[in-house]
Amino acid sequence: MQFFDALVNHTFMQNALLIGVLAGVACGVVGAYVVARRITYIAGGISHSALGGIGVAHYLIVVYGWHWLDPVYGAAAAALAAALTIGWVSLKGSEREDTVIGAIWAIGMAVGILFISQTPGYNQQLMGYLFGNILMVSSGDIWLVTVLDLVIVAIGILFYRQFHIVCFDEEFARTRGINVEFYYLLLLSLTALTVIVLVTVVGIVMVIALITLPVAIAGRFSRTLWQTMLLAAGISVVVTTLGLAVSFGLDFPTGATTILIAGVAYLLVTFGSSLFRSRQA
Amino acid sequence: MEANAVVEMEGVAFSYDDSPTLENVNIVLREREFVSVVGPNGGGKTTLLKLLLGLLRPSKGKVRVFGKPPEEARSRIGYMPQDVQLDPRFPVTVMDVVLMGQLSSGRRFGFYSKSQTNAAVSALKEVNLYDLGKRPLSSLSTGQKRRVLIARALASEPDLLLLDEPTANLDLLVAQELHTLLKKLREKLTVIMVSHDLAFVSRYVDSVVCVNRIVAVHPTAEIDGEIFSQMFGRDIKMVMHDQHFKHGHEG
Repeated sequence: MQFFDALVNHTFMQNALLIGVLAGVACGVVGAYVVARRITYIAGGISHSALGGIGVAHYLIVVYGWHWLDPVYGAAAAALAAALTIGWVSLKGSEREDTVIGAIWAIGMAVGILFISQTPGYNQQLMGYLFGNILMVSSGDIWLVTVLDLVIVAIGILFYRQFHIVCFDEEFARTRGINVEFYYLLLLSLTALTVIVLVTVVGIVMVIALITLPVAIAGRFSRTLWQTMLLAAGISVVVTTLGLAVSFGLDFPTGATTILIAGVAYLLVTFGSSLFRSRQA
Repeated sequence: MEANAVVEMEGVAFSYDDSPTLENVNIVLREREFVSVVGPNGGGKTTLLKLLLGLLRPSKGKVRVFGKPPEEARSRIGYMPQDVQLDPRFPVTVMDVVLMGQLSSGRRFGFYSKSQTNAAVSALKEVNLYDLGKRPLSSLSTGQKRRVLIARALASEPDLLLLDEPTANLDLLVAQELHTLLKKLREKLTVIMVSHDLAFVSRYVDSVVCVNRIVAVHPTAEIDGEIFSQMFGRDIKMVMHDQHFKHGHEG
């Protein structure tokens, strides 16, 4: 009840709810591709490398007074750069892909931490980026996230057939005249943008869970990728909203609460369905 | 250029690294030929198909399909890859997979159109799997999955069909079902099929392309143990042992 009062009376709660819903939708669409193509680890690398961009942007804002810059832009730039680098390496196949992902993952974080340490003042914001700061969302962020969200969902749906075949069978896609490299890099770029949207909700460290868990739950009840997508988007919206409500009521950190709700739901569904199957057998 | 040649390879060589996978390949195949590609594992059979699809480029020589470079002829080629490379748990229905064969045509955005769906439905009917269209691919048996992949190749409405080991590791009955299907298809299409199944090959195929780094083409009637042992050494004898291969020949 408290939650609903707050929702009616406070803009920051309305903003938080809106961001949660937007993030949930992007999560369902892109997460379905990421899980189907088994590139969760790439998504992890992309999200952690975003800290590098955040650190540099934060430094430039404080030390050089670049107030037009927002750390989110830094995060987006770093995430996109990481996505394209990893994608290029994996398409070229000349380096071990997991080595490169691990390197980009850690180097991004190292750069971020270094720049933040050199930035004068109290760096409370850092915690927000690492673990989520959904209640601190400004109306500027809302605009950015809304635009990003529309771009992600529009591209994700418009090129559904191409992404689907590139995820399922790259080689056959090539024989049908699909530009596999282009769509793979586009998919990784969408993943990078989704990560940026999610960072405001659950933070860099917990992004992977929100990309994968709703899709994993949805996957148990759907036959096709688009069913997974729709259902996962719905589940993500419910999870982020519940996370917000529960954390507000109990005064818990929102990001962690959201992830735990998703985790518990996943465990229940997995456990429940295996119980159901063994009963049927 | 020969008239009505579907496939021409002239002095083609290919290598993945320093040692050559294929050397000096010269093949001409004509319309409505049904050809089997045989050879030991790692001998270059799949490589040969990928060269025809333009997925790989030859390091030497020239590949022409329907008189054009493979990349430009792709829309007329239906391809069935080996199924081992596919993720068995990928969320996809039988119909979804077959629809992928229609991808090169039609609009660029969104979902498939009515006419694309119709093409996929008739491809599914051709392989007798129409009833399973809505089932997840993961719930099908290996033999059924192979038929789905053949249907996907057919959905491309091809004039040339390339099949990579459609009958490998199937039990006899299922393999026979596939053979019946392939016999039906050869009446309409030029078919190139990688196969280990010499009993089938010797009965129904026009000629055999033996691939083991070098490539030799033989009319099926001429095939006997001699040629195979020359090509493959000891490898093939085991196969010959239990498939009464020369006697089975009806052509």
